Amino acid sequence: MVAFSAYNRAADMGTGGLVLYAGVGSCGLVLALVVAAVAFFQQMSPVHAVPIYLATGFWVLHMLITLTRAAPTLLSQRRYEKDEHALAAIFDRFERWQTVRVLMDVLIFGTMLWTLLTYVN
Amino acid sequence: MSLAVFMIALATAINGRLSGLNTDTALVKLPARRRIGAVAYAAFARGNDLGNGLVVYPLLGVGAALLTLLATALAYAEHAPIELSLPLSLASLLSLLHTFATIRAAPVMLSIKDAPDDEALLTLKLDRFARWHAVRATFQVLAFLVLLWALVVR
Repeated sequence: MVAFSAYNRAADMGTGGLVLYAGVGSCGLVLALVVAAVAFFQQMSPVHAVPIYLATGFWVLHMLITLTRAAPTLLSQRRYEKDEHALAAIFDRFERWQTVRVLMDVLIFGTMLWTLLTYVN
Repeated sequence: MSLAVFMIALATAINGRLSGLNTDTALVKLPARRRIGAVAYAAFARGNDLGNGLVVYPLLGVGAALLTLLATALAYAEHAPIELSLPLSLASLLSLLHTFATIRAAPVMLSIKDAPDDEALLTLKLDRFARWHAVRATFQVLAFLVLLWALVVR
């Protein structure tokens, strides 16, 4: 656990992780909100609008879980760098939230593809 | 929805997941070796890339390439217009190039499994893997973008 924590702090909490994850996450949410706003104000037909609203909803849920659960859990490992048991508990908790986030990610990706497909033919 | 569109959508979805994984490895995972050292990173890789990764990565890699080739073959069989067959052919080519780069990258990663914990040796191996991984990640991301293009023109 101590070794994995050292890796994790260098990767996920390193420059690459912070830039890529925060950048992609923020841009994804903002773009989804903009698309949902456009769909709302242009009064798009439900065929196109429903998957857009769903994807945006999943994005908001994803961000809420990330900001209130997953990220604080991961960041808390800094306080227990050498404590094997505390780190095990932290990573177990993070794994549970990460599983929920992955589910959200797949749903976002699926509904985005669904949106694109509504414009095919 | 026709079978061709379904196949393109499926190929796009799987290529999208693989692109995300490849980008994460290139920009987040691999740079960590410079901070924690090659020996520590190799220990992580033995538990990750050479753990569950031995099942997940080949499944996604082979699946993405096969689905792309299948979608392209289907488009040709259905006499798809050039607007569609062009991006699909390009995506197939990029998938083949990704496979070629993987054939160069994978043995390097596999050799880390039984390599001694020698910082200089592992640094050499991980640097070589990182170079080939950067090449295949580029091909993979391009393949995903080209498949999105195919999906839009369809």
